[in-house]
Amino acid sequence: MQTTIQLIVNNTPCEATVDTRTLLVDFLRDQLDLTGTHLGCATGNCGACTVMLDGLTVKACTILAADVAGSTVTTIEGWTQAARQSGDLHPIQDAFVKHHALQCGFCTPGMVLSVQQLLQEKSQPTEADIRHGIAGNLCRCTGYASIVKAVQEVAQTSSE
Amino acid sequence: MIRVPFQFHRPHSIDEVVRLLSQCVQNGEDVKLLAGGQSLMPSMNLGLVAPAHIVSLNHVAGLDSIRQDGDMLAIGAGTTHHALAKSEVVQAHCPILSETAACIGDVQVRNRGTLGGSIGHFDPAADYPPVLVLLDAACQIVSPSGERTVAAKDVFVDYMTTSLSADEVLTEIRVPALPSDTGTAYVKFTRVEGGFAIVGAGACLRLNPDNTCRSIRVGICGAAPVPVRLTAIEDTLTGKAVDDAFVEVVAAAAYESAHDPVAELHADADYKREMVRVFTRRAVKTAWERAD
Amino acid sequence: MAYIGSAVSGILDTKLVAGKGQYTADVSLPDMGYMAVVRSPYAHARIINIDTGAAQRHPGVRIVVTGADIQQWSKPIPHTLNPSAFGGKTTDIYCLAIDRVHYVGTPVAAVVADTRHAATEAANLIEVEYADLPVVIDAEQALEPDSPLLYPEWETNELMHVRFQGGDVEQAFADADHVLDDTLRLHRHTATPLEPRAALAHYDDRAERLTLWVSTQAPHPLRTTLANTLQMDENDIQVIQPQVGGAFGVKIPTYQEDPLACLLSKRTGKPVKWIEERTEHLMAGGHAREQTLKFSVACQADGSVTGLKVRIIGDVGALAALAGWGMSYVASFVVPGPYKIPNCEVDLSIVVTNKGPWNAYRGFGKEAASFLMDRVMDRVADTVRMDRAAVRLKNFVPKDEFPYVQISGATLDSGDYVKALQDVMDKAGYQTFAEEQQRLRDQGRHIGMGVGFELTPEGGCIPDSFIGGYEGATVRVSPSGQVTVLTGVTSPGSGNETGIAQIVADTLGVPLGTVRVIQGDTQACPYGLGNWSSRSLFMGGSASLYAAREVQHKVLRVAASMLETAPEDLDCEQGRIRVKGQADREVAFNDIAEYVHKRAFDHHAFDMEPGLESTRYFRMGNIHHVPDDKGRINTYPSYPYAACVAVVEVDVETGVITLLRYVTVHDCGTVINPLLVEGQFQGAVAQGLGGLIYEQLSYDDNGQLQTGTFMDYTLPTAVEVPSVEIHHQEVPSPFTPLGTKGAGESGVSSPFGTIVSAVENALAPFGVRIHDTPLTPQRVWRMIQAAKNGTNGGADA
Ligand SMILES: Cc1cc2nc3c(=O)[nH]c(=O)nc-3n(C[C@H](O)[C@H](O)[C@H](O)COP(=O)(O)OP(=O)(O)OC[C@H]3O[C@@H](n4cnc5c(N)ncnc54)[C@H](O)[C@@H]3O)c2cc1C
Ligand code: FES
Ligand code: FES
Repeated sequence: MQTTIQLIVNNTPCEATVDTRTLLVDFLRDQLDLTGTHLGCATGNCGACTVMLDGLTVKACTILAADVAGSTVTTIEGWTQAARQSGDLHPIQDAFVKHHALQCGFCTPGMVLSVQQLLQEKSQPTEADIRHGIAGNLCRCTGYASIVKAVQEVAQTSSE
Repeated sequence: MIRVPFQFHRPHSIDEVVRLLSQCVQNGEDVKLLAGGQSLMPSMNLGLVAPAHIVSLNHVAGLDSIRQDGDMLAIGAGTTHHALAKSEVVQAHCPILSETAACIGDVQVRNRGTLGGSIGHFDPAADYPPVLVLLDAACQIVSPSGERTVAAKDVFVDYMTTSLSADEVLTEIRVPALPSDTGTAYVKFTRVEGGFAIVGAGACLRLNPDNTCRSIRVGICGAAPVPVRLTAIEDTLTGKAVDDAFVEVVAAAAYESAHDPVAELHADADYKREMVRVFTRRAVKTAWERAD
Repeated sequence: MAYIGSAVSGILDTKLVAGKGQYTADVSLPDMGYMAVVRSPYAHARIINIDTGAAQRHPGVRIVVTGADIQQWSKPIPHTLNPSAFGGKTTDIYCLAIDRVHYVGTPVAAVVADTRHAATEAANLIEVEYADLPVVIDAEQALEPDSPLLYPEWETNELMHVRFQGGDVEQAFADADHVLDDTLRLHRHTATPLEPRAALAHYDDRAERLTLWVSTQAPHPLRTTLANTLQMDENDIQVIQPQVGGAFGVKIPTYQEDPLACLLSKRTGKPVKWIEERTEHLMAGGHAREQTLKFSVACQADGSVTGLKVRIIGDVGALAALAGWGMSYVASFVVPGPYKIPNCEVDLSIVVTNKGPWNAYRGFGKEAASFLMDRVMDRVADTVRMDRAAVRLKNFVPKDEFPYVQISGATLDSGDYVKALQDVMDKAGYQTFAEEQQRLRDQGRHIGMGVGFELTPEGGCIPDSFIGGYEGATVRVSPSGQVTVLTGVTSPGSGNETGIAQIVADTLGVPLGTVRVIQGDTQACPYGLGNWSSRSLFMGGSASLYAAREVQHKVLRVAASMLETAPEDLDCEQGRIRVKGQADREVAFNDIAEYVHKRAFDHHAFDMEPGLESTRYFRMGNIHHVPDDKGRINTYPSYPYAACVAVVEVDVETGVITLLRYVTVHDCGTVINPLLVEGQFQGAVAQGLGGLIYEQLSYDDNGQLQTGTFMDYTLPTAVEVPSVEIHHQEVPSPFTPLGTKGAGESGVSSPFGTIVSAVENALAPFGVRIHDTPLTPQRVWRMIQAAKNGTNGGADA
């Protein structure tokens, strides 16, 4: 069964017809070719599919594409485009690169968006805040230490 | 990935929601409401649930309002855990509810999951149910035949079963605005951060000026298939001196009440009972520390 | 040396952090179909009949296949490691089960359809009729004479029996001051990388060529295996490894779905895509670790260990073509690890059961050996009333005895174990910890410190397999001076491409940004064996070094001719070639590159072979496949190690363990990039911690997996994993040109012994002894209760 939706993805209005079963993550990846959003579990546990929905991070495997009609969705691609400052990347991303806060990179787009959300709510997080803030994003490679370091650096730089 | 096709409905009012629900029920077709999807979608992705119709609540305006109504707080069923955790009104007047909301899952789950959905899904390990029961919350339910109010304790009837029928929708949850001297706490025991509770315990405690108990309420999840409220001893504790022994009495009562914990892979019934004791103790202690 | 040794950021990171990495699931082709696999819901059954009628008729379906078709169209998949080559049993593994299923999740049929939805719908319509067979899920029961048999033709469930023996064990036991026994049980868990497996196969009918994009660690061996299975010429197959989202071993071998997707593409004439679901991965993607480790140790009153008998029972699940069973072999091969215990015997039974097959997982058996040896040392220490670290210090192989040959033939290359342990104790404050511990104990808090030591043999090289000890690389300089490195090793996110770029940039004296590393394409890269056993940097990097040196030799020769000096008098840095000590006499690397390509017949270049390109292979030393006088071979050339200290707090009311600190001194030889090495180590510790406490693949008595999703297969989050304090001890390998030994695996093994030791230390007032994993709160709590109730025998859990 099909349904038609209108929404804004990465600042661009879009209209699409989707199978009602289509998950937001699959819609973004398969129909809009936004493959920076990944699928790791489909049970809402890993966070690889994290995107921003109306300004808040959500797991796109737990949302039906049919249900986001009228919403605004931002993926890592759109966020990078909009949020970058001087260079090609946002300071969060620069800090990730500097501290090698990624290895395989599969969790990274979701992780970056979660960090964005965290710093938006709390610009000077403690280490515990950081760890809780990214607990919805599993990383199987880094053991998180470098991610925590990267976030600490972003927070510190922004306070200066 | 969802295997079985379904029809998707996007109603804009509760009337429309109820009409769609009752249509499906009359046609003998399986229908599910969709709120935040944080329980429903994983189940559908795993093929555990396969409704023929999905009725979304996410396009009905006003379901996510939080209002103070006299000595009550009226919270829309569509309020997200995140909104509940951040709400100043809730933090001020029913802090146990915001504390509970803040410890559910992770940031993304809280951004999307709703109070109504948690009640509707009623996982025996869910965090709100014991707290709602201890708060004597009232649930506003709309059905084809009209509206009714049901006490939270009567909503949670059995393992993963609520008293809502398939053509009913929960619209609002009413909880008391707690006197500001109430000490409250909700503590939970999980295997990893963001996981469901093995055991969760909530407590509200008010003290008399002489440090005796003015009132105490305790609600627990993980002790039985439905939330446990320590009604049997709550009243008997009024007027008793609040000290370590008092806390132990409550913890022991909690242990006794945990007659039928749902055994899990890494927590069998015996262990869970013990944890009910430990976490009730911790909840009451914290509530005591926070009581003026 | 500008880059080697410095903390350069990953060269792919800027792309990956912006979501621009292209993983296999991100690759699409026009008109591709989607494959869905039907899997057995039973742990042990005969397939009576498969009715595919309804599925065939389902709209959008392109093909439906069962084992019968597969048997007609293809050969069995060659085993990545064939147990029969080690004197074990074997069985043919086809892409789909032929007539019997041996574990829940065995693939029995497959569908390709126009959409993923149509494919899964059709898969649901396939009706398989099974006849139940008795299930055996416990390895020790499986060894009983009356046990149900998985492969009746074997007449046993023992896949392989291995014995290593050295010295005079009986005499050592007879002469011992103390003899003690214990049994340890490691539980089943798995790597489960965040990116599930994925494949996109495209058989081009006109070109008669097959291209497979696949999330693999070993593209070249995979191509060879595909050629075998599909009966095609290797020349007609190209395997491309896009970005891989973590692998940790599970993506080394050829999975059944890889040739299956290829075959179905060939049959349908259109591309076929398959993306594994997490539930499929957890039941059928490969498991690890589940072993019973029994030991008996003989020691003297001064703590010296004189004899050791070990019995290992590896429960490797059903047999697959994956290399998993080899981990139990390696566990026995590594005993007694870093210790000098001349009188030693190891007896290993590798046993099949009706559970998911094992597959390679970081650690590859070394974690079991580490856990075993750490427990042996702790038990000895407690028995002779010595400090746990002191017993280790006493028994280590001394630093002047390398190379040191263990009973299995394992030839330990180099190291200073004593210093590593002493250093880590200093860094962690081992000597002063007891005061702090007592202070907190007085407040009712239970913290504990444990020591552990992991020996992590790397670069595994097994005779007659693609697990080999060599690697190739090509270094190519373009006319504009850009450098391309093509390697046979691959990177599943472990960063070796950055380390290789550093080595090549330093060798050529060019900026890192001008070096591009290309990996994982069988059409482009020199033949190589891929990524595993931490080999990529020390083997692939060494091959790249050789190739770069050869190219640099030519560059300097031309430059010397231009600058009228000798090549030895030149320095090259950041793309400028200078006469040493004369800043004004210089020429640009790029200009030389252009010159060589355009003016091969001009006087600075006419007397040398044209081109700036070299392909070189590196052959690892310290591998011995010709048996020595005792019949021993050495399959591991390199022996990195780590000495570790853990500090934990145990909540005695709940049994919850919190890892507060993890400190290590790690020797992986020369460190090319501390950022990468530390990242690997930290990630490995997180996996070890996860395995020890949080993760478990648990089966019920019917062989049903109880932890088949991330809801109940709980991975540690950022809240559970502390930041590891990592210190390096660089004892260079004598067998590699840069002294590298291999990093990547190490860190995963030590948490088992180290944290367990720390938990026992924290619970010393209760006298708790730990034997079994996982260390769930319930288990720890039970041990504390038993100790409190004085049923101290029961405190052993
Ligand atoms: C990773 C993860 C971790 C989690 N951890 C926790 C946790 O620690 N503690 C916890 O309590 N929960 C946890 N949850 C569950 C979460 O709280 C869900 O948000 C909640 O259970 C369901 O709310 P929802 O709005 O998402 O409902 P949905 O999933 O949309 O719906 C759930 C059910 O409720 C019904 N329903 C929804 N709204 C209504 C309504 N208004 N009236 C009647 N029926 C309705 C639906 O029909 C459906 O059957 C977790 C979920 C995930 C994915
Ligand atoms: S894929 Fe959505 S949370 Fe894992
Ligand atoms: S970098 Fe690989 S999962 Fe996080």
